[in-house]
Amino acid sequence: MSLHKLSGWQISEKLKKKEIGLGEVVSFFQERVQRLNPKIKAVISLFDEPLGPEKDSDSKLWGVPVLIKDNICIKNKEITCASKILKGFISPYNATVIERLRKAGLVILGTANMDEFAFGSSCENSCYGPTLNPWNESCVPGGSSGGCAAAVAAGLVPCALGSDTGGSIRQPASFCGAVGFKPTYGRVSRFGLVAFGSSLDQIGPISRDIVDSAYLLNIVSGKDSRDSTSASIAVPDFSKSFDGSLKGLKVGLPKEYFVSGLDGQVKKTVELAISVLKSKGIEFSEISLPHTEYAVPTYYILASSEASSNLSRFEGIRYGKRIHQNNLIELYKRTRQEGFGQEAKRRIMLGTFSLSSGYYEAYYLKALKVRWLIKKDFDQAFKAYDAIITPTSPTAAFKIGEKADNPLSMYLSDIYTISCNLSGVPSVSIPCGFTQEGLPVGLQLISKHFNEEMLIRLAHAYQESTDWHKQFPVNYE
Amino acid sequence: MSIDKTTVSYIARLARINLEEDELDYYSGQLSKILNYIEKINELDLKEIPLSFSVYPDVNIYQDDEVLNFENTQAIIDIFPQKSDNFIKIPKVIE
Repeated sequence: MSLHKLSGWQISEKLKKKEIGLGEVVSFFQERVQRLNPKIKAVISLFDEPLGPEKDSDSKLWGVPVLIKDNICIKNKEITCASKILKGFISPYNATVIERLRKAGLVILGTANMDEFAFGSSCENSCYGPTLNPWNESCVPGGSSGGCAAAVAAGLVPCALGSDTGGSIRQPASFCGAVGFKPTYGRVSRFGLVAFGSSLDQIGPISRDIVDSAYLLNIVSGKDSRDSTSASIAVPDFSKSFDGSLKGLKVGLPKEYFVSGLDGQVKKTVELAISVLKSKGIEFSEISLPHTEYAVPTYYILASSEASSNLSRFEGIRYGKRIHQNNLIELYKRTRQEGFGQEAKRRIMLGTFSLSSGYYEAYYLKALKVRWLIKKDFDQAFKAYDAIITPTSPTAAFKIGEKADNPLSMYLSDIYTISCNLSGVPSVSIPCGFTQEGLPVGLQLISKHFNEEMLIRLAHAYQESTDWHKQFPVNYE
Repeated sequence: MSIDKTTVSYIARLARINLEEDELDYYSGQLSKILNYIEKINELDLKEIPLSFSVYPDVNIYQDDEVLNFENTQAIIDIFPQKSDNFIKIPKVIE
């Protein structure tokens, strides 16, 4: 039985036709996690009793096992954001996305590893230790949703839910040869997602093909009164975008994304993918997103500022770790010293600095203005183009430890994904080939706000004429 | 700009994080490097750019001020790091 090579929707079809039982599917994937996870360490917690469907539903993903990134709250389960400071935090409630998954009848198997509080691009900043890339175990799976992406790539589950603040769904999907979808800001409720950068965070799917991602997106999208930033915009049936001609679509290739710093093999692979789409009648033109080079600095000011504010809630008083002291301030300081890892401290301090009196105007307020310019670039481009296509990351997966002591070079691995979060537009990374070393390469598709349908249409058409999404890492057959 | 140890220590105090002496050195070096890179945004002339706190349509979102019961309060109490009955215990703050 090779259920692990099937997509979620295919497994669900088999269940509905009674070709296989739900118990069989669940124990198949549990066994794979038990056997293979010690190798890649993608899963933090495999539940003794998975959270199965409460009743039948006509969802296309009914009965499909999923993993949840460790920053999305699941009632009565330990959620830690891969941080020591949240060890022992048993969530008293479900995130909205969890309620929606359960209603649709998916089976939640457990939680997936991540960079602590989603701070990172390699899944090395986890208090549980790094996750490894199933395509090459000496490489990182990307981050911060590295556990989700590695688990999907290794066939531990067909799909997973991650979160994306600067590329945390798309970059690991790219490194692991999976599909990773960051919806429009506001498309999916963040109620129950542990906040990192509230003006940037989105929850989204990671899966082996675009079909599963589209179905998952339909399940989790839509207005939620418990997240006032969730949009009251109608959610279309994304599966209707599986068909549709690409003839006459106009796609922009931003010249600022195809410059030095982009690995030669990644460039070549992406160009080949573009030629496949060209043969389907898409018109490609070079465009300019002139403020691209300012995206990473802008992001690190804004995301760190928001993070420093959001993470002030972890103080050892109400939940999680506490270092007992006789003085309250000392209790906060010692708890946070012991509880946070190095990157979390670095971001909290960078954010605190940017927001502090005397520096607020020079850093935070300035970055807000640059963010506005970056968004204008996209608005302008989408007046003339249906989509923008870029590489997802400038390189394929790098070696574990390679960038560990160089935060700046780590930050630059999100250079192509960050602008989408700053401007709120949706984007998806789909597998589009491999380097000579056998590492996956991702193609990033971007569209205007609330036009995920365009991304699904393009990704589905690409997937119909290629089989990169069907490749499987040899050690996990 | 570069951030010296005194500034790191000041930021750490604002952020309520205790840092050891060697960490002050470490973060002083690292934050200085990051800030030097971030200051790239100073190349831009931003005088004419409007200040907007959100890139999304600025609409206030209201909802009814309605009391909703949370059923699982015991679970919140169960995870207090230190408690006395249903109360959180903290160090004494009044002399």
